[in-house]
Formats: sequence, C-alpha cells, structure tokens
Amino acid sequence: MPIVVTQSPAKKISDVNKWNVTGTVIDSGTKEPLPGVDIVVKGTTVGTATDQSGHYSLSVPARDDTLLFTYIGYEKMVVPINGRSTIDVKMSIHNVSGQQLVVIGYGTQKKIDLTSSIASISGSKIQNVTVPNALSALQGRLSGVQITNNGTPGSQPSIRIRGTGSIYNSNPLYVVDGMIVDNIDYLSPDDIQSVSVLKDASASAIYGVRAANGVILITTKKGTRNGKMRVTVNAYDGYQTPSHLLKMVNSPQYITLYNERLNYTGMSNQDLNPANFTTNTDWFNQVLTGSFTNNEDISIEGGTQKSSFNIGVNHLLSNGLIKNNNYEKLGLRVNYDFDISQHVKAGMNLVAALSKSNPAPNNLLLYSYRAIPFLSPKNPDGTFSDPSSINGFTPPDGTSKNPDAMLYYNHQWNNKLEGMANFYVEINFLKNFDLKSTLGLNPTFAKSINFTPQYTVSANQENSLNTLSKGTSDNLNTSWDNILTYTNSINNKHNFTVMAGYTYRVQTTDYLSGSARGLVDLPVINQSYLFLTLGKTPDYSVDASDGGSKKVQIGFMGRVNYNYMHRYLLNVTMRADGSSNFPKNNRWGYFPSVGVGWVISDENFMQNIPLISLLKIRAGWGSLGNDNIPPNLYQLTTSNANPVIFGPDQNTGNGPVSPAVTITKSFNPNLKWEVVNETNIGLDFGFFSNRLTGSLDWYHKMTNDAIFATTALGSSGLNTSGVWGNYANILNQGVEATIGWKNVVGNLQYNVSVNGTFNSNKVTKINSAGASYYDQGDGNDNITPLTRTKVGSPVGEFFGYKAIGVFQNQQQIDNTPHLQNTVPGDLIFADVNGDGKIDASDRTAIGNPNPPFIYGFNLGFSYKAIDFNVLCQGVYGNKIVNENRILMFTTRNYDENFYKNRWHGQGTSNTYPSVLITAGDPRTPNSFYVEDGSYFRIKSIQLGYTVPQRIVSKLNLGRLRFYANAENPLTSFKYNGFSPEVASNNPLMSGINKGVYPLSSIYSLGINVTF
Amino acid sequence: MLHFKNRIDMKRAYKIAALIFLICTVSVSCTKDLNFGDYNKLPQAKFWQTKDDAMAALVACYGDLSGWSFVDPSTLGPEQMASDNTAKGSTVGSQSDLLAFQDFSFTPSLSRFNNLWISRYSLINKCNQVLKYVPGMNIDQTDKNEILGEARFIRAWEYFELVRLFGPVVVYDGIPANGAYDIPKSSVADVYKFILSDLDFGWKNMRKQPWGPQWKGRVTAWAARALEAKVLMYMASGPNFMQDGKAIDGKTWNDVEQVTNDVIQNGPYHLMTARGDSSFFYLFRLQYENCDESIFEVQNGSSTTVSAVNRSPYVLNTWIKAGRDGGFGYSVPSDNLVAAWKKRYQDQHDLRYKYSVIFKGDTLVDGLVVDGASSLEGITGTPRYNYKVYIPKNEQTNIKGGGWIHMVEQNERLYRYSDLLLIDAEAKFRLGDKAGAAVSINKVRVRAGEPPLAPSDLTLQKIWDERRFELAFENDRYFDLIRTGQAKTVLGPRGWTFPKNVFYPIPQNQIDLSNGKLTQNPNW
Repeated sequence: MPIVVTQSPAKKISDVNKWNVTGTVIDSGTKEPLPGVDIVVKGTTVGTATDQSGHYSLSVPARDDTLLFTYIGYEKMVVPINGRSTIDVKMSIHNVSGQQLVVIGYGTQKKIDLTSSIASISGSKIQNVTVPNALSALQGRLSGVQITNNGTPGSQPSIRIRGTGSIYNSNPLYVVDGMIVDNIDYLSPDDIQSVSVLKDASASAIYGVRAANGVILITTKKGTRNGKMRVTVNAYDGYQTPSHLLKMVNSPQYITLYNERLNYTGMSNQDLNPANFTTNTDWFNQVLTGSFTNNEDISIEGGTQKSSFNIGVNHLLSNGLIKNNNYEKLGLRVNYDFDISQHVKAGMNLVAALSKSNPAPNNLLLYSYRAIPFLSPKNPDGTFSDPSSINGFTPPDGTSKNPDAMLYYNHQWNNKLEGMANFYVEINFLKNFDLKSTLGLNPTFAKSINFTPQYTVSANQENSLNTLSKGTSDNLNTSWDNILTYTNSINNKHNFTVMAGYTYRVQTTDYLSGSARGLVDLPVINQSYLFLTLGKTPDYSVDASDGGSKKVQIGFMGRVNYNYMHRYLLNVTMRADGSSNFPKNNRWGYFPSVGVGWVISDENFMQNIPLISLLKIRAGWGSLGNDNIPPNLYQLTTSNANPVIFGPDQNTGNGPVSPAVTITKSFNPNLKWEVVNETNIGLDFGFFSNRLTGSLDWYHKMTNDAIFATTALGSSGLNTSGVWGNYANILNQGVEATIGWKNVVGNLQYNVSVNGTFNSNKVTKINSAGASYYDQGDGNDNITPLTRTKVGSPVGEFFGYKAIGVFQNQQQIDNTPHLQNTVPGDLIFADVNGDGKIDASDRTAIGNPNPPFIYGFNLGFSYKAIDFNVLCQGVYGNKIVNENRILMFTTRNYDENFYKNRWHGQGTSNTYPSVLITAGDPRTPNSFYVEDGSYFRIKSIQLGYTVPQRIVSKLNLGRLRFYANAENPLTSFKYNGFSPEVASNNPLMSGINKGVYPLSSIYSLGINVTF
Repeated sequence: MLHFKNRIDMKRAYKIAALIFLICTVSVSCTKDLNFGDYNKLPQAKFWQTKDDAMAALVACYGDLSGWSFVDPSTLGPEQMASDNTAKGSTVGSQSDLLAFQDFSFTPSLSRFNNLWISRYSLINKCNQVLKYVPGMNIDQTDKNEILGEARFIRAWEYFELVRLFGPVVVYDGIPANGAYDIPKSSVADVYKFILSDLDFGWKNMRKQPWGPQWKGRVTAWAARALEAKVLMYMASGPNFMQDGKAIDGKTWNDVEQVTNDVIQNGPYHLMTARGDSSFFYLFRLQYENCDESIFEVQNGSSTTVSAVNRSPYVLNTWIKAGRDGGFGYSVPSDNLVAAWKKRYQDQHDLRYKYSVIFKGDTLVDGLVVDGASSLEGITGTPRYNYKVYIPKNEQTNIKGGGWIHMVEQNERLYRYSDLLLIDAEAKFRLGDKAGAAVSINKVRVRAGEPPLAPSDLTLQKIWDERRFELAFENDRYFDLIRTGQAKTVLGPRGWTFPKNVFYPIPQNQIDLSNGKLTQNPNW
C-alpha cells in the first residue's frame, strides 16, 4: 500500500533535548490538508494536533524519537524522526482490504492473501456498544452472521453462521487465543482485541472437528513490545427499561371475553358480573421493573524489548427486567509474552471470571401472562391471594399461579467460576521453522442453590416443607496443540507458509446435586447459610445424584498457503480427526479444503485504472465435520425406571423398594460424522482510493448425514428418547454483501457501511428411522407437532392448519368444509387436499422460522472532537409462532390486541376468531398463531466527545473521551409479544415464543480514559 | 537456500529434538485415549447378568403401569368418558378437547390417542427387553420362567387393551435394532392369538401358589388363566361387534366356561366379604390391596427413603376438583349412571352406589366434607366423584409432600375376581346353564347387598348391568358396551356409530410418521 513519507534534508542540530519538528499532513488521495490529526511522540504523552491547514509543530524530547499520527478513519502512521525537522505526511483512508493482519485458524494472514470468507472486527468496535456480552456486540455488523439475543441477564445470544446447518446443535465453534472452548461467557467485550468469523469451509477446515457451523476466533488484548506502560479505564452506567411492554386485557375486557366464551358454549347463565371483580392488576407491571446496569474495566499494558503484557480487570452488574433478577461478573485477564532467548518465546493467556446471578422464578413470564387481571397480588390482610379462587370464581385454569408470590418465595443463586488459560513455548529454528506447543485449560466450576421455604398460596402453589436444592458441576477441557510452521519466500515472488500440527483435547463433565426437604425454618435466607444438612425436622429427607461424561478428540492437520507475488493465491488444508463420540469403526473423519484467489487489481493491465484500488476474486471448497452430539450414542445404556414396592409394607412408607432398570434409548452402532461440504465464491473490491470498499460472497453449504434423534414409530416402544442417527441432508445457500464508504470532508470524517445476507435453508434428504420427515412440538404442553422438517422445506418449518378466514354465520359453515362442532366465530381452515373435509391431512407448512434476509447498517462520523455512531440491524421475512397465545387462549388470558380485533358477531372480523378460536382443541397449531417475525432496530446510537490532546496532555492523560449511548432505543415490529427475537438452541423449535424474556433499552453514560 | 549455511547451535538442536521427541511420545500415548467406553452409565454387557438385573427389568414393566398416560385423560377419555358411566368433569373449558368423547367427534389427530398408543408400546418394549435378554441369562430356571411369564402376562394385558381400543394393531415382538422400527399392523384375530400364546406361556411357566409377603402384588399363573377367560369372552363375543359377524378365531363360550370353571374350582381367588355390608367399601381401601379377590392391580406405594417410587396419578386426575388435597376432577359419574344407580340402590339395595359415588357436601368416612368446584363440565346437578380412589385421611401415610400426593398409594384395581365370576355367569347363561350362572352372579350381588336372583329371573341384560355397577370406573364399561353390542343403543344417540366406532382411529401422528406403513382403521 502506498504509505508515502516525504523526507526533507536532515538538519544537524546538537541539542537533542529540544528538537522541533514541523510539517503538514495531507490526504494521500485528495491531497487536501487534514486538520485535527493527533500527533504523539511514541512512548510519551508529548503531542499536538494539526491546525486547519494541516500544519503542526511539535517540540520532541529526542531526535531519534518516533511520531505516531492518528486520525479517525485513516490508517495509523508510525514515522521515526531520524533526525529530521520537517516531516510531511500523507495519510491514507483506513484500508480494510490491505496489509491488515487477520487472525485465521492457527495463525494470521494478510487480508490481501486470504482465499476464504472471513469477517473480522476489531475490539474497539465491539467496545463501542454498551452490551454485556461480546457476541451481542457483533449483531448487525457482519454479513452471514445471525445473532438472536436472549434478554435474560448473563445469557448468551444464539448464533447462526450461514443458516441452520445442523439439527441437533447449530452453534459455531469458539476459539479464544487459539484454544477451542465451549462458550465465552467469561469474556468481557473489553477483553477483546479482535474477532474473526470463519464463515466458509476453506477457512474453517483447519478446525475440522465441530467446524461445520462456522468458527468464531477471538483474540484477547495483548501488550506490545517496547510499548509504554499505559492504563485504560472504560466505564459506563446505564438505565434499562423494557423496550416493549405487551398489553394484556384489563378486568372488564377479561370478563367480556369470559362471558362471550360461556355464551358461545351455551352456558350464559354462569356469566361473571363485572361488579364483583373490580380489581385490575397489570401483571407485567407487577413483575417487571426498570433497572441500573454498570460496567467498569481497567487495563494495563506495557512491554520491554523482551516481554510484553496486558492485564485487566472488569466488573459488570447487569440487572434484569424481572424484579430481583440480576447478574454480576468480575473478570480478570492476564496476557504475558516473553523471550527466553533469541529463538525461544513463551507466554500465557488467562481470562477468568467469577459470576453470580439470581435467576428469576421458572416460567414467571408465562405465569404473569396467564394471570387474570382481577386477581390482586395480595389479600387485604397482606397474604398472597389465591389465583385458583377469586371472589368465589374458580378460574378454568387450575394451574395458574400468583406471580408476585412466585417472586417472593424465589431464592436462587447461580455462581460460576470459569475461564481459559493457556501456556505456550515457541521455538524458531533453522531460520524458517517455527514450532509452537500450547497447553490449555478451560475449566468451568458452577454451583446452583435453590431454596424454597414452606408456604401456601393455593393448591397449585405451595411447598409443604422447607426445601433446598444444591448442585455443583465441574467441567474441564484440556487441550494440547503442537504446530510446526515453515515460512519462506523465494525471490520475494513465491511466498509460502507450510504448517503441520497435532492437537489433542479431552473434555470431562461431572456434576453432583442434592436436595433436602424438611429443613428447619431459617431466620435469614442467605446462600452462605444454606446447607443440605442444616437443622433437620422430623420430616427431613435428602436425595443426591451425580453423573458425567468424557470426550476425547485428536486431530492431525496440515496446511499450505502459497502465493505468487501476493497476486495468485492458493490455500490447501487437510485435517484428520478422531472423536470418541463415534463408534470405533467410524471414529476418524478426513476434512480437506482448497482455496484460490486472484488479486486482479495487482495485474499490470489494471494499473492504468486509477478508479480501482482493489479487485480480487476468491473461490474455495472444503469439507467440515461435526461431532457436537451427546456422548456414547453408539453404546447401549440402561437407566432407572419407576421402582415398585411389593408386599404388605407397600403403604407404610417403609417397604423395601424394588429397583427398576430399563433400556431407554436405541443405540446406533453405525453412527458416523456429520459432514458439511461448502463452496464459496467471493469478490473483494475497493474503489476511489479504497473510499468505497466491499465484498460479495456466494455460498453453497451442504450438510450431509446430519445427526439428530428422531421419533421412531410409537410401536417400536422408543417414543420418548428417540433414535439417534445420520438422517438428513440440509442445504444452505446464500449471498452476502458488505459495502462501505469512508471519506473526509474538511473536519468531517464519515463512514457508512451496509451488510446484507440472503440465505435459503432447505432439507434435501431425510430418512429418520423409517419416517419421511421429522416433527417436533412442545411436549410439556402437549402442543405437537409445531414444526415439521421435511424434504424441500426449511429446517423446523411451522406446521399446522392454514386459517383462511373466520366463519361469520351458520350458513357459511354449512357451505364450507369444516371441523365437527364448528360454530360462527371459529377459524376457517383451508381444505388443502380438497377432499371436502377438514382433517389432519389438511395440515401444511405455515411459516419459515429462518429469516431469508438479515441486514445491518452503520453510520459514523466525527467532527473535530465529536464522534457519532448509529448502528441499525434487522431481519426480514421470518415467522414466529406465538405459543404464548396458544397456551393462553385455552382458558387463561388474552392480550389486548386480541381483544380489540376478535370476532364477536357477524362481520366483526375475518382474521381474528372469537374467543373459542376453533372447534376442537383451541391449541391446535394453525396459521393464526403464526406471526411476522421481521423487525428493524436501531441497535445503538452513540455520541462521544474526545477532549483535545493539548488539554489532555496537561492533565497528564493520554486520551479522555465521554460518551452517551442508547442501546436498542427503537425496535419496530408487528409481532404481538415482548420481542421479535426468539432465541432457541434447538433449531427445530426456533422462532417459537414461549415466555421469552423481554428485551431492554439501555441508556448509558460512559467514559474512556487512557493515561 | 541461505538457511542451510547457518551454523546451528548444538545446544539448541538438543532442545528442539527433546521437544519434538516429547510431543511425539505423548501424542502416541494420547491416541489410545480414543478407545474408552461409557463413562457414567451401566453398559449393556454388565447389565443382563444376575437375577437382580432380570428382576429390575421386570419391575420396570410393573412400574410403568402407573405412568401418567395410563391414568390421565388420555386413558380416561377413551376408556371411561366415552362410556355411559362417566362424563368429562372438571371445570368449563379445562382440557376441552375431552368433550369429543361425549359426542364422538374426535378425529385421528386428537393427541390423546397418540399418548395412549405411545405409552402402551413403551411398556410393551420393556416387556420385550425382558423376553429378549432373560432367556439367555445364566440364572435359576424357575426364577427365569417366573420372570418371563410375568413379562408375558403384562405384555398380554397391554395387547388386550390395545386390540380393544384400536382393533388391528402392530404386534411388536422383540426389540428395535438396525432400523426395524416400522412393523405393519396385524389383524384383530392375530393380535388375539398372540395374546393367548403369551397367556398360555404364563399359565405353564409361572407359579400357581400365591406369592409370599415379600412379593405380594406380582402375578401368578392363575392371573394368566383368569385373563385368558376375559380374552376368550371377547373373542367369543365377536358376532356382536366384529364386522364379519363371527367369533374371533372361532372361539366359543365353551372355551370361556372351561377356563372360568378351572379358575373358580382350582384357583386361589375369593370375593372379599370380611367386612360384611361394608366389604365393597373396604375392598378399595389400602388394607385390602392385593387381597384374595385381586387378580391384577397397579402396585403403588409410598416410601420415606426413595422419592421416585410408584405413585398413582389416577387419584390426582379423578379426585375432587378443588384446591388443597384436591384433584383435577376428570371422568366423573355421569347423569345417566347416577340416575340408574340411585334407582337400583332404592329398588335393590345396591350398596355399591354409596361406596362408589360421592357428592359435594357428603361427609366421608373420615369426616372429610366433600367440597370443591360448584359445577363440573358434562354433568348437571351436584358435583360428584369416583369414591373408589379415595384413601381416608387416617390411612394416608405421612409421606413427604402435601396436597394430593397424600393419596398416591392407592392401587388401581385392574382385574378382580368378581369380574371373572360375571364372565362365568355370562358364559354359563349363554350355554343354557342358568342355575350355574345364577350361582356366580349371586355371589357378586349378595356381597353388594343385593338380593340373589332366581335362575329363572336371570337375563343377559341383568348380567351386563351387574357388570356395569360392579366394575364402574374400572375401565371395563366402554369395552363391554361394544362387546355386548349394547353400544348401538346406549351410545348411538350420543354419536357412536357402527362399525366406525368399534375401534378408535390409529393416531394420526403414527400414520404420518410411518411413511405409509400404518394404515388407518376403516371409516376414519
């Protein structure tokens, strides 16, 4: 890249302590002067900034110092003074497609040399967003990466890279500082230096095992050699409120609906009288609240000639929207690298976090949804009111609960200590060889405590004895990676890197849990006093259980990166992986990949086209494996069944219990690797001196032999556990585009970037234990099936009757195919097979949960000391099943939207049914419950003010910036729920909203200080 | 190549060599690590070894009988609410899909059928596991025969239930392996023959003498013999309900009587009459579980040490729809049953009425006043419930927990000797032996407080009615209405049609899943 420094003849001045440097800074493209460029003497706080005409003058301590030129939107420049007194500088607009190093699997590569689709983002962008976890910060920024948030404090969003490729688990692989880890809960956004997302197979293949759903590579912050000691403090305080509240019916509206129901079923003599039910409780208001959240991070970095370090500590307090629901985390980071000798380096990376949270009561939001508005939280005497009997009214739903009491009697704590640490030694020998051996540990120690005191609210909401459950789990991943790299360049034309490696990973999990009933009453309920053996009443009993698993993965890998003059690029990898999750005969998988690239703009014939700064085409093909399945599926195992007491002591409580053991699952001795074959063709471009940059990728990603558990025919007796096997082929095909524009106009620098991804998801083959498709539903609430995955359709497509209107009168019913017992106001279902009757064979596809289009949009500008950034994102075209409604509409409660739009007499609605919904079971899945899941969101708006360098220098600070941030200030959607983001780890049940946590808007003020 | 000219420091070379050597040796040893087996569960190879293992697999079969789907509305709907004995119950709008059993408006996609189907085959699979693995085990032959016989009995019990519910069903004999998940349906006759072969094995291989105290509740050869009688009765009744108008596999009432005679003359069963006029009441209380009258019942109990021991969700599902100590109040005595029974109580002093049905406001034997919901769906008038499931408060074990689970120890009575006596009465009546028939039916009548019938007064209808009241709420009535051909008149007005409703539809889920292998019953 043309980084041009114009040199003036050096002056000979003996006074080394007072050396003056002057010069002008101009844009390398437009040749216009750049005002406000920060200039600092490296390793000091001495600095200045250019004036309106781009001139600067600086008095430096020594003539051999180095100057750093920084300007937002431009490449940073490092210019040694070398005794000069005039240094004019041409700065180039920050170039995304240039020499920048991108973290790839087991190494780094210049972006220009990449042949695969890798999206990367720097830590500074992640840190510009006030979200508690790093993954949420990526939302909307990267094409091909769909991130769905979960509002629960401390939870991680769900991530899909290039669509849903696996049925059991579509989560990507996380690699932190070279180590494969299962999750990245413990990372704070402030720990991160950069994130690379390996999207296509030719990039991911080097991670063979489990790379089938993409790889997210995270590098934590490192120190720099010879760097000055620098302390950075980032902190923000924010206030969060629910971004949308769902309005439920009030008491008079509820009574109207209830009486309509009675009327339609011929029982109007039991009508409720509104005069008897004057209480009006807004239950969501009752359980939700605004809350404060804050985050502080301190980092210290520095380096000598032979070592560098970056250590940090951060603290996050994230209060949930549900009362008393919170998450707090204290994290540490220690990264230290040093030279043992000229050829031997060593170092360690450590990130660990201690977190504690108070989870909300299980299903609180569902119970709040179903709570009847005329139930008051408390009786006049201060006790909690009984939801199963209100002023003599017995609600039809015998299982309702008083949400206020749920909150009051909820005492839960989750504590977790987790992190990753690795230690490496790297030996450089024979000049071109480099051998690196890394030992890594990734432990998670978790403890959960749940105490429920003795209480009674109603028959369905009570606990007869003080009960304590405690669980601990120890998970440990140990890995050992050995990588040998040979790098050489012949005549600066043939550049190649050859890598060979061996990797070994063991994953063990172990849990122990116990519960005690009949503990004595406690004066204070505090987790430090809660022990299973604490004060026993005569009713005391205790139970314990434990379990665990072990998995071993071994891999051998090799890679050749070759390029001719950085113009013709070739990348070949091969990986062989063994995983103990597969039977011995199918244990090894072989995953090759190849990628080629051509930097057209580097050709001679392109040199005369000044408009084009970069033009590169890439193509790659690769094969990836997935062993992310439960262990031991190929082995027959037994488990405990219902034990029985025979004999005369059957009912005394003291009879001998005969244990029962059964085989609960079918094992599959032929289980084999799930393999993804992916082809990617991409184009990178830069125009107008790289002011306009972008890339375009097309991919074709075929998952073969996807592993999941299917429902076998009931007659095989294997209903509940399913039968595991390689059953389906899934094709994800799509186009991703990213386009950015950056420019500087006078003091105004701005950038705009847009990204969009079209993805189509289709099952191309399915054969699950004899069945031609795979159904999944909500077994807990007996709503099955909700989705049907079949050939030609997307994974987890919604399935049910198609509602095409509402019966207005009896005559219409008589003339239209209908379910038995249909009455006016019921939904009209389409007679899909045209046989003149409505039955199960008329159920059809009623919506795709996978968004065909996702997009993001970012606008940033800075003017002098002010900077401003807006990030928007959205999804388009997906559907959501409003299961909350399905559950409520049986007998429980209604949202206001339904009340306002429902059918309540001929001609009142042809889209919303009456309160009865349909003949038969109102829970029957149908398209009335399927809603548009599209949304558009302003994800964040940030306004910052950077105190000018000259003031900051006087304060002895390096940088000082204040900002105000609004996170999720606006989300626009049609869906009748809290949030259109419905995350699920089960791809077959995605987009099904059952008690999803509300999303919040966070308004915060923050500060960044460096000194 | 420049680097070859570099002089390598020998010390460094040693270090490198040492590191490479270390990596190689450890790598080789790590590769062996791939060969480990199961980590936390008992592998198959170590399971089917001892008699305890075989027993544990058999106990799983017994234990499954109180699984939720065996006693929740999935069973109560098709086997009770569809009859004229009970109605849906519970409050308006609660599980309203069950109303379909009142007017026979259900379709094959009603999820209840699927639950029913799946749970029965899941239990059959547990029996099949025993039958597959136990024969090859090196254990005492007597124990082995006993265990195999019991597994066959329970399997026969389940196929008898399935064939009466769904008609031609899948006979799955063996365990699924290597893709053998989808076996087609067998004909009704073949299912019945399969049941008889299981019972025959049980009769020949199980013990005849009752179990001692330790194993009270396990079935014996006589249970298999007694069940054979009931199965044969259905086969002989084929002309009343089979579309071809013929007895199934040519079985006759002679075949039935031969077995009932054997059981009555040589078997160990007696009616429980120890409590005089109150005998029928006490028969359903805890102290008379597994008494001499019991042929087969679900073994529920309570334990102060093991929390997951078998409990009866049957009580929860049917007991008083109320708050504390209440149940869900499903499958409550219908208007028709109550009216007929009340009259019978007044006319014939049928005490069973008092011992089987309780009304809101009644004071029970332990002083509990029945309270709860003020109205129940599907019936008119005072809410009422099945009294047979109740455990008086003073008999409830103080197990840990509150609410309904106080009453979970109740054993659901599946097959009683009085049923066999009525089978005998019907067989003898049909064979012209009115006197013999009267002897059997009168044993049942007298215990219930009713006057004995003279042989000349005996009619088939009276035997059937006796069955209705004696076995009310014991999952017999609906099947009996079909078997006897009464369904057309009794259930016809509510929507039951012949031949469509003789069998329930195969669950739509299963048809869908089967990829064409399973076919729907005719007319559905």
